[in-house]
Amino acid sequence: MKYHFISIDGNIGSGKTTLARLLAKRLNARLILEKAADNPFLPAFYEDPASEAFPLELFFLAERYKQLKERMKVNDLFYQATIADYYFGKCLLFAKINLPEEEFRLFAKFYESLLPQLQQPDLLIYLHAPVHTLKKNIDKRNRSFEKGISLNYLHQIQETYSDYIKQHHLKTIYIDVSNADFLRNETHIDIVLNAIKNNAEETRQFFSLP
Amino acid sequence: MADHKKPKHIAIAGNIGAGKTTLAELLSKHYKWIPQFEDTENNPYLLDFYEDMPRWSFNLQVYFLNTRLNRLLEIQRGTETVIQDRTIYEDAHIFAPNLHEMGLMSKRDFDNYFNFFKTLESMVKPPDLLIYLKASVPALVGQIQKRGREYEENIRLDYLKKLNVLYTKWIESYKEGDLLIIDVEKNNFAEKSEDFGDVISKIDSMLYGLF
Repeated sequence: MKYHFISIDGNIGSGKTTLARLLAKRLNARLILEKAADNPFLPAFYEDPASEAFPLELFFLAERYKQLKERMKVNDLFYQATIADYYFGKCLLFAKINLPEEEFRLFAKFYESLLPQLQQPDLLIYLHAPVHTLKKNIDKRNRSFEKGISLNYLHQIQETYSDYIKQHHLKTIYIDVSNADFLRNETHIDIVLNAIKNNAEETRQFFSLP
Repeated sequence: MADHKKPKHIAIAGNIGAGKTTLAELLSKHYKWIPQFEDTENNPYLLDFYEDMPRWSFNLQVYFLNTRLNRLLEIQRGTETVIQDRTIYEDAHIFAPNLHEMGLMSKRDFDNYFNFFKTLESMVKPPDLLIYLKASVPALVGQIQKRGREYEENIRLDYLKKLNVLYTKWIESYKEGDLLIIDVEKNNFAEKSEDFGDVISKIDSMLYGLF
């Protein structure tokens, strides 16, 4: 495999963490998972987005930066590659959705100062599913702080991601995960693995899971 | 510094009225360093902050952090030597903690702010030399009255006291780089050229190893 750093990203409930775990195991890669559950700001944010968004987004920015910086610094000889269940660029996308203009501008300045300090992934795996499917997945995993996520919010995220995916420059494997069942359906994970191993020339490849 | 490398960044820290601007001007003239003064007026959250401090203190401080960070990055990218009036450390170790202690910034906001500061701190180098202007509260009051900047007139005594306590605590724990402490009650560099000469020779020896 030619990739050294693969980031998986997509909307809330698209299955980033599940896929990251499975791929890391199959590819014997180092695994970086976002620590969403112990974020003290999320519950307050879903209650009162207007005044809680700015502290929350800055918190995410700092945590993701620190995690990537620290984990990527270690040159681990056991692993050839690293797989993360998020891409740092998502900080900016969520900030764009959640922050008023003035705060977003301020946020973007910090983001732009931090970005060049981080190693960029050489492959992005983007997971796409319809908003209703996402909502079902979110309900199924039943995380208490995610109860307040609305369809409308998921729609906004979806649109922001779609716009971003169209114009960014990272090499991307785009997977329609509407039918995904990575845990039980071996062929699903194989499709992703083949896509990674094929080393296709195209900047963007599209796959859907049967 | 033993290697006599051209210094890039000299910073002056000290409480309100300690004489930072005066010293920055004098040193910039003497060494041909480029002075960089703080800009507190263009913060878009200042008005909101005066209306509702607990709600906007976080935004206010984060904005200052951004300004300070950008200026530090400018200094690092540039080739000139810059003398800076007030440091990023004072935002994080003096002014934000003070807002927190006064009940104007919640613990959660302060922790978040400080954590964010630590993240940014890893990106910037400390100054080649930090000059701390030490002054007692009565000395600060005297200075403030003398210069009569209008907006400073209603700075309260206990405010200066609180800041001074935080300054002392911070400077005692400052280990990031070379530090020169000037006691402004013993050294009147603003008015006595002899005292200013003393400051210069100390800086020379610290930066260039001259005696």
